[in-house]
Amino acid sequence: MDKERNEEQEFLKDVDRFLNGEEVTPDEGTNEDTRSAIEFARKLTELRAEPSPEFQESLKSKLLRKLTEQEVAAREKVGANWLRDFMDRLMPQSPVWRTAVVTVAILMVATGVMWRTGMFTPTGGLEGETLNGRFSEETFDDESQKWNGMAVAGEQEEEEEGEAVVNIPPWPGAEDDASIFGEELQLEIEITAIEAITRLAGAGFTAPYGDEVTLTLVFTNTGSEPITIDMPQITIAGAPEIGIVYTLSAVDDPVELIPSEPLHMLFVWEQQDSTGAQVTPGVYIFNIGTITITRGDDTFEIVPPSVEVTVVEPQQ
Amino acid sequence: MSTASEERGAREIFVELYEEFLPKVFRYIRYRVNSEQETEDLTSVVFEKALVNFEKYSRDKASFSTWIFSIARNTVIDHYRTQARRPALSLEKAEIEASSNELLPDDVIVKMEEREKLQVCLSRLSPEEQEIIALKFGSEMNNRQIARTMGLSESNVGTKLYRAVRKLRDSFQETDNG
Repeated sequence: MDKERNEEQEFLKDVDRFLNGEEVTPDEGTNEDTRSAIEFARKLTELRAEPSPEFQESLKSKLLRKLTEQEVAAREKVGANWLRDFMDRLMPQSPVWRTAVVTVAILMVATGVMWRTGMFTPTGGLEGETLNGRFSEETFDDESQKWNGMAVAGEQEEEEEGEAVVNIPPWPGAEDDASIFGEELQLEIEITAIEAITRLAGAGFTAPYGDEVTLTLVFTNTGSEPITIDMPQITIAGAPEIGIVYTLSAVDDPVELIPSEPLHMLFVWEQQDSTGAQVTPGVYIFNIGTITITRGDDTFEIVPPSVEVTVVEPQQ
Repeated sequence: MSTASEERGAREIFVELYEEFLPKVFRYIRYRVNSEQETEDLTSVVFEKALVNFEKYSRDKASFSTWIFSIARNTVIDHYRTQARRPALSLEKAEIEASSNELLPDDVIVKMEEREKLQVCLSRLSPEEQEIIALKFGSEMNNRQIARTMGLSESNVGTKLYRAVRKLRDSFQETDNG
């Protein structure tokens, strides 16, 4: 019995040693059965299947994309919780006072609706409505789903007379400090082995009248192989009745992007239309076409989100 | 709200753990299922579950190794449950699969044939013996970790492992001779 136990201990010790990468030579006293069990255990280790590099890479990309989605969702949840907490603090705890507050709020909304429909003014209608209002109504009716998805009616704000500023909910992943005056537009595009993640850093940008507007695209290849990027033209569109005002040319030749080294592509718009004239203040959309990525024999396409910039009326 | 550096930190930690544990989880699952494709699918499921629950993982309660392999074990058990039973792999099927790779070098083909034979022999062991072999040679756990994972004593694990490897060796040799 003790001998059997010793053989077992000898076997277990040797298995642990070769699993740790150590050289193993069974003791001379080890019996043939245990010796051959140790040899077979070594064979088991040699025959182990390994995950293919392709599988490892594609699963890693998939998981990193999920991680990004989780981070975005967590950020949005934090924002929603903050709003709910804020509203909770705003609302009185007493049921009587709560009822009173809600009643006042309903009365204010009703008054607002009646005023907007002209019930309090003899002329009625929407005279005096700013460029912002007209622009947004037409935009949402006529333009693509992408516009509708980015801007929601009711989130328009009328600023000082002559300014047209549209508040846009940030693109997922956008930084919180959107609308920083004069900040550079930056769109990050992270290309993994099989897919692309686009992230807009900042949203709803404003630019002083007459200033250059620079759009920077940052490409990062997190895959293990070099890729080439075929960059299309970028169109800049004003309100629907204005249409495309300017086109930034496509990059002539495909650009090679090696793994891990970020590539910055800068596109400068001098706020001019195709005739060279300064554009009027208002909202302009940078529509980036389909970017084609090639890796070996594989080709895939990215359609980045549109980028919006508001040209602000010059200060008097 | 987590800061950008904290997020980058969590991302880096997850990538490090992924790179360390992916081969071990893959090998463990490969010992427990019959095909490469099933192995890849289940490995993906394990890491997706780990990612979703990563926030809930507490280093104080268990090592990452114990945590990820408990997910892997449950995933394999669920897989069997949905399949009702594990289909037995026949030697004939294994030989047909191996013979369809005639363009590969000889040593690679020999290794593939041996792997297939091993898979057949493994399927003849009891589920507990298969689990011990998979945890030892796939996950590279020590006997104490296996004992904790399977609810056995450490000495019991040692005895069962010694017995299972000899049984598997005999079955493998019989297949060779047959």
